[in-house]
Amino acid sequence: MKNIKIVLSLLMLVGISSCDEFLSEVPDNRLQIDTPEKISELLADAYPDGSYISITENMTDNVSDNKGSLININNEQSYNWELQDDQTDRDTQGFYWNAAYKAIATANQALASIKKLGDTPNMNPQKGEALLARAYAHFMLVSIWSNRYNPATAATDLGIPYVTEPETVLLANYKRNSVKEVFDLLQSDIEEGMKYVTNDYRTDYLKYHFNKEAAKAFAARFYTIKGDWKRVLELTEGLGNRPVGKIRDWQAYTTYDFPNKPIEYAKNTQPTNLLIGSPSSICGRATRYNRFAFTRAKERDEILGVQTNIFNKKWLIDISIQGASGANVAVYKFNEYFKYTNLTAQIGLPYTGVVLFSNDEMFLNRIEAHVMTNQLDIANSELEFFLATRTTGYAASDVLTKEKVFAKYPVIADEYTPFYALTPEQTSYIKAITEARRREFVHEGQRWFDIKRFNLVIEHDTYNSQGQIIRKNVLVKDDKRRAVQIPLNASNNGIEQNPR
Amino acid sequence: MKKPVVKQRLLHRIMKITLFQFVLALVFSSVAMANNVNGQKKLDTKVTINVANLTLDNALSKLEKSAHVKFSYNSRLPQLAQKVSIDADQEALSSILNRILIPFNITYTEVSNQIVLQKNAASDAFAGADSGNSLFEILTAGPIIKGIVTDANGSPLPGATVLVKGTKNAVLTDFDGRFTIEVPTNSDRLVISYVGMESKEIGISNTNPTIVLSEEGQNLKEVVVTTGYEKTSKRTFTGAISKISGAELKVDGVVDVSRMIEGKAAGVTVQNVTGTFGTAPKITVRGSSSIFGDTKPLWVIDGVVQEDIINISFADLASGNSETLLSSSVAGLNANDIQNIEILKDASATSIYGSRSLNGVVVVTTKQGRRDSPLKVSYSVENTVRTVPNYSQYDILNSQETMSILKELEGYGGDGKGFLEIASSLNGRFGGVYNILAKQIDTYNTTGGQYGVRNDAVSRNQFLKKYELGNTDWFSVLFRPSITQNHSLSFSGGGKNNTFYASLGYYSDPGWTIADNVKQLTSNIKGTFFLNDRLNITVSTMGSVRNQQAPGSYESKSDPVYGSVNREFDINPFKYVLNTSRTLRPYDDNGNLEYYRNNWAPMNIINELNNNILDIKVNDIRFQLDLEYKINKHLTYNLTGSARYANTSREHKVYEDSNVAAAYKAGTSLSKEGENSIVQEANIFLYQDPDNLTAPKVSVLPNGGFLRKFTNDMTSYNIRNSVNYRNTFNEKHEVEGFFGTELRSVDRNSDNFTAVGLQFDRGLTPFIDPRLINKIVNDGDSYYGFDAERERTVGFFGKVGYTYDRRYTASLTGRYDGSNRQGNSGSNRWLPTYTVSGKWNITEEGFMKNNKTINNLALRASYGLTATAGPATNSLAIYKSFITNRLFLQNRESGISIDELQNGDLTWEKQFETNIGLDLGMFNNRLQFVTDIYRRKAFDLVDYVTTSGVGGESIKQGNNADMETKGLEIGFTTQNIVTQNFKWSTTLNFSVYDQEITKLQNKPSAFSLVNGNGGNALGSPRNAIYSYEFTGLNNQGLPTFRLQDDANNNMTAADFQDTKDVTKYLKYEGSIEPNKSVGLANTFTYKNWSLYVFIVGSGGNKVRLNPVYDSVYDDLTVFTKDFTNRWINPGDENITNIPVIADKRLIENNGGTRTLAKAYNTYNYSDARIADGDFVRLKNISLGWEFPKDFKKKLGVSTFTLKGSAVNPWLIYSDKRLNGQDPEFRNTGGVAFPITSQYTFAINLSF
Repeated sequence: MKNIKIVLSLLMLVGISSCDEFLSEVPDNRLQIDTPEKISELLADAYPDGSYISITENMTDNVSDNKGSLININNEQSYNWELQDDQTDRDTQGFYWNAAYKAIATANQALASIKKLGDTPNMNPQKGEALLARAYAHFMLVSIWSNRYNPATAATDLGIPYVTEPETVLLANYKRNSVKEVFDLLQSDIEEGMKYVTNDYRTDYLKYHFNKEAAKAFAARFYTIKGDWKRVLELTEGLGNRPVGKIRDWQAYTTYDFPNKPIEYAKNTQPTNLLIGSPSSICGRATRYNRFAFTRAKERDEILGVQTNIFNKKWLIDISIQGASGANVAVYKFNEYFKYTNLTAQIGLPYTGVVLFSNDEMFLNRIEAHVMTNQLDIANSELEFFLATRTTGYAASDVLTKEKVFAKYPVIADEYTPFYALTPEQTSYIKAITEARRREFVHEGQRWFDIKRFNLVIEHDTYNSQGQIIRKNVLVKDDKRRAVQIPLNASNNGIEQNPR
Repeated sequence: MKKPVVKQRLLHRIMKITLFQFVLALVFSSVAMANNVNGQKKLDTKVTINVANLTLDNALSKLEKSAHVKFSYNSRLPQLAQKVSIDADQEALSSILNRILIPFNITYTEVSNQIVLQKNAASDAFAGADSGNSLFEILTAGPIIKGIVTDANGSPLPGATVLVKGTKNAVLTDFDGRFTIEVPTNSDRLVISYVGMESKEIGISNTNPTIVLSEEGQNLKEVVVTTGYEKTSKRTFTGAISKISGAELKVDGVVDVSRMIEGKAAGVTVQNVTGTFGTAPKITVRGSSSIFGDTKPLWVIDGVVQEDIINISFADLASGNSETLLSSSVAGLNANDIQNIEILKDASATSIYGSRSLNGVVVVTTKQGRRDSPLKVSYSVENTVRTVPNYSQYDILNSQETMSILKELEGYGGDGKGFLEIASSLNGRFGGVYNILAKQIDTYNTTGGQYGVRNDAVSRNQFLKKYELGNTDWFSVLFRPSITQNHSLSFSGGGKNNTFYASLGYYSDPGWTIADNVKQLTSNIKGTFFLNDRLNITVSTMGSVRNQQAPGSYESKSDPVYGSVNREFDINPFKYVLNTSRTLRPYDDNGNLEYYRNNWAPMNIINELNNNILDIKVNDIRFQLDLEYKINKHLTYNLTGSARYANTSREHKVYEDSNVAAAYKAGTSLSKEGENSIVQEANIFLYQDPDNLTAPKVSVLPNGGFLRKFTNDMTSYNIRNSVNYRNTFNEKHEVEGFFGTELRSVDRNSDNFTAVGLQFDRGLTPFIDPRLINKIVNDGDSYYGFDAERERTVGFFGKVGYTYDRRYTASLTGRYDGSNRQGNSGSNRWLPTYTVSGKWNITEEGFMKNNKTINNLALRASYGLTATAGPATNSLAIYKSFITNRLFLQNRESGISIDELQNGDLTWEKQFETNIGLDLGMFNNRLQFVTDIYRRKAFDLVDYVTTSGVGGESIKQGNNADMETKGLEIGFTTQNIVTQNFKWSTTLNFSVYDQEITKLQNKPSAFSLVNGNGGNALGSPRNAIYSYEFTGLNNQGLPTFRLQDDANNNMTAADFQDTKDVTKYLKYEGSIEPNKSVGLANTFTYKNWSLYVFIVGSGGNKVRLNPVYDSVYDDLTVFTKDFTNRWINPGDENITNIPVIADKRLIENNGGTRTLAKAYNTYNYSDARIADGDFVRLKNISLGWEFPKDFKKKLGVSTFTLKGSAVNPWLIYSDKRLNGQDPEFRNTGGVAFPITSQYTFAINLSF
């Protein structure tokens, strides 16, 4: 008996000690992130798989009521700067919030894996991209869900949770950092990321990742927001004052077939495109069907009419009339790649090619920096170059002069109120640049960030079928609604709401 | 063999008789002769005697006087001086003698009116040395015993060994179980043995005894319970189990063992959601306890868990996809090989399975041979015929009625609803009669100089008339009453040192429809080798090979946006019949196949079923070794090792002549119907060059068809060591201990591959257009895929039991499990589970001893923790590789995505279960009653938890949900009448439970709650089904509903993907799982006849009616009788709830076809389209006849039975709203067929 007990307990012991090895077998085809190559592949997912375009564009003054009858609740709510009821559909606030944080989690995982593999210099390119991707998603989040950057209030303004570690528990608690903290963290991530980022990608993939140029464009946007003009000029140096062949060639678009125009817009072969994404989004369809959209009136009166051209000539930017009643206008920017999951039912997943950073934006930021550093002559010639490439039949006789700019964009008191002071001259030029940016990126949601930055007042009215205003809604200066309300899922789970 | 023995015996007997008197005189000096009282029956004399502390000698003389008998014995026997006491009241003499003599090692025999006492030679060490005794042994002669040996059911046991104890005299029983043996005077005991049965020793007081042997380890009181890990006595077993014997289980004509359980055990529900061979029914034990995880019970065959080849969920099971054909764990198990099934239900019974026991365990024990028994050969054949369904069972309009609706839909002349006009019928994706008409109108016959049909009302109506009168019986076209055969041949027996059992089964089903058939060969070989008294080894092999054909099927996909589930090219015959208009004909006027349109291509179901097929092959083999070593009287060591290899393949063959292949050409010049630019534009199966979006679409399948091949392989190993200790101290303290370890490894590999352009008729030469691959990839699919899963578990288990005085039992079971399921993570790898339980055998109490009515009464109670690994595996982050979703192929790169973030808190799904049970046996166990009440508190169930999203995953799987189930189970077995010729017994079981999800964070979408499979919401049971509340038709005949608060109308604005408080506006209907079930079996036997009637019922659940309403109907639509009551004119909304058939204008005014379809789909998912799932079904009725004994004797067979049996002959009750829809079956198409009524004729033969 005794012997048996000993033998049995020995057997048990041997059993237990070899168990852990036996139980370490990987249960399925799950991957382990254990090589630099795999970290690179992980980074392909470090960009938000959602788009902010529908959310932010609908809040801008590019959009008005086409007075149709069909209402999409998401569209209506973001038009009125409200929290959307729908938090899960693509192109909603909640969807982009989740997508941005998913991208952050992926970037953080890449950084954690780099650390685990020894943080050797051969992984610097991945590190650079991960830092920039992490910064980018946080930057977009803080731009949408917080008050505009203002050094005076940044330390107390609610930012967004800045996440730097992968989550490891079921329900983690997150607190909102202040806007200042977020901007400090952004700056350090951007600067460090820029040190390492490379262009070592296959040509076909290059523009889907943070490359050297895209990093500069991102940093230029960041410092434009911060008002660090010197740094903006440094970063945009490469474009020079006449970026021939580098910015968008609208002339060429006139020759493309209709189906190919939107494809070309976000194609990686366009020299101006620096970073492009293909998020899950139907923002292209929305331009056609939404009631609160880029309407014929907006297009004619404010953005693309001949009178909006400082040379009084037609813009080169092509439009098409959309919607059942022809009230909406679309610029060919969005091509939807529809990936069928159910061919028979014709359902699937829509992906839309979008340009996240371009030379056009970088160049406009450069012009703005020249204005803000009082180099108006350079700014004037740069702006002339830019506008010329967007005007039909531009001739050498069409010269941009300061007088023309002052006349076209007169100073209106308390209209443009960034956190820094503007001289009247600067004000007119900033207005000119801001309008150029509005036009250039119509549909793309960029306008919202200028409205926030300059604290522009806009009005969103809703009409009844008789054409009478039934709801007048004005976004005043420092309106609390400029910081979009935190999505319900997040506020229900411990994220502080924005004050209302 | 037998005859020489008998001759020798006769010779001996003659010698013995002649010598008898002489021997008596010689050996016994003190013989006293007495009067002959009553010759033969002396030992049966009833005696009343009361002596105390007398010497044996004196006691015997007193007994002589009281019983009027004469004893003969050797006065020198030393035992005669020993003191004895006798207290007997009208007790048989034999019984008294047994009492007083056996302790002294004295045996007795009745010889010629005297009772001869004799020292027991066998147990006396000095017997051999005593020459006097040995002489006696040779010379004494004994009586001849003629007896019969039967099993517990009264069936004769041929080949049982009857041995005269202490001698070498032995005979075997004949085929009637009869034997004749002469007992020498030196012995008075017979030992009857039969392998697999408990040996029995009897006295020879009765010369015509009937000896009933019970199964090994199963003395009448000691019923044995097999948990799969160990065999233990039911007396001390504290758990709740249901035992079904092989005979009770068997349902003739049914092949899959898992379906036979239905209604036979309380607390076990079986739903035949599909009846196709190889598919599993949905089995739940006590309502199951996982919400999103696996709810299937664990199947254990001969002590080893039967791993599933594919692990599929209930939703998958109900999908009709081809993988369901591999879902049955026990498809390859021959029902004739089963000895019995035990279903372990409560924590105490299942806890030895530790972390896999949450959903109950089904333990199957297969037959084995018996030691020292002759060869027994059994053969049985079952011929089964299934009925062809007919239209009277279903709610489908005939062709005249259908045509009248179609005429209303027609757009000709402008006064109809605006559909079915020539252009759309000619070019549409689908088309029926009107497509045929349009083709005729469009055809110009150049020789005849006219169109196939002139385009005027008269000609058109003339043409349609023959379809109106067609009234095709699609059931008779596609179904047939073909006969399935199930042959089973088995051999069993055993020698001195071995036993064997070998069986071979062959099942062949030529197919209920023209699209399916099955052939399966099964084999089970088991041999046990007794190496010595202590060691025996069992080696067994179980194998099955299956070839099956099913209708070609693609996987079903759901469309949550518009609220429907669909499948490309579904040709399931059953679904086809129910979904195909009776106006269509299989053959045209000339007897050729008539084609209509499906996916823009010509379609005829008979042609399609021949050209679009699914071949399934399953090879499954299992090897097992069991070793048992008795270390000493109390301690046994067991080793079980098993290996299983299962290979399966499913080949979906799409031939060139199929509608599928034609759809890939439709509209182009390759099409048989010629080029058609409208079709070409619309056809989604054509290829659009993404680099040139303006180019016309082209066919990328110019030649050949498709072969879609799926393989699923599984390899599993299981090794278990255990020791078992059993001892009884001082006859009062029974101690039991059981400890062991288990190691398990399961590898599953699967792959799939689509061969495109395979030319089946050109020697399988591939003709590949690379753009087809391009199209597949662009459509977001892949043409191949591989997957692998590896499970590794280690378990340490133990059980201690203690019983005091047979009255009180306490038991403690524990298990410590480790699993690799969570990946390379040390946390949560191990889980301990445990149970405590007790039992009070009230019958053993003193106050119950004299109770004659109640012969068994026991109270059981158990409380314990069981668990199962939930569906989540994200103890470490899970990464998945993906291809980026970019428009151009050259821009797409391989990426890695975080599929799930790490959840460091992940653990098993667990439950505490309390069970209280009562076992009652009355009137000599003629009434047996078992009841159990239980409460299961499941916790840490995996839930989909909404987070702030900041961590990067907005909805995570985590242990967050709780569920509570309370239930009651009752089982009765009664033997109502037991007479010589007529017996009637009844078994009734009933169970009911109440289940509620008490904690759940997941917010179900409206679609997941309203669709037929149900969803999970807080406060309702698992798989609850909800409905949109129908609020009547509006004045246009369109349905209106109570919808979500922000809906902008009450008709078309249902948001199926809504997840915000959907239970606020949706109406709770009930669970889709029945929570009440009842089974009632009555068995009558009269002489050679036996009748078995089995009724099952279940209820408490709801069934979603098939969706039949839509915004647009076409000439393929099958209309139900409801349509005749539909809204036609304003005002009808007050008298009917059936919505209008929308016309084009109505559709236009309500947002178009798809938008309005939402209204109709909402109607399909409303409370107007739900029915109760309650049903009562005559499940099985069978009549058997056993050939008379004389006839069997002549043939030399021991069993010869004929049996007629009907399965599912009558659905006694179901909700009228079902209109013929089977309450169990989900008509999901693909490979799913319902269980149908079938009639079986079976022959059983054994010799």
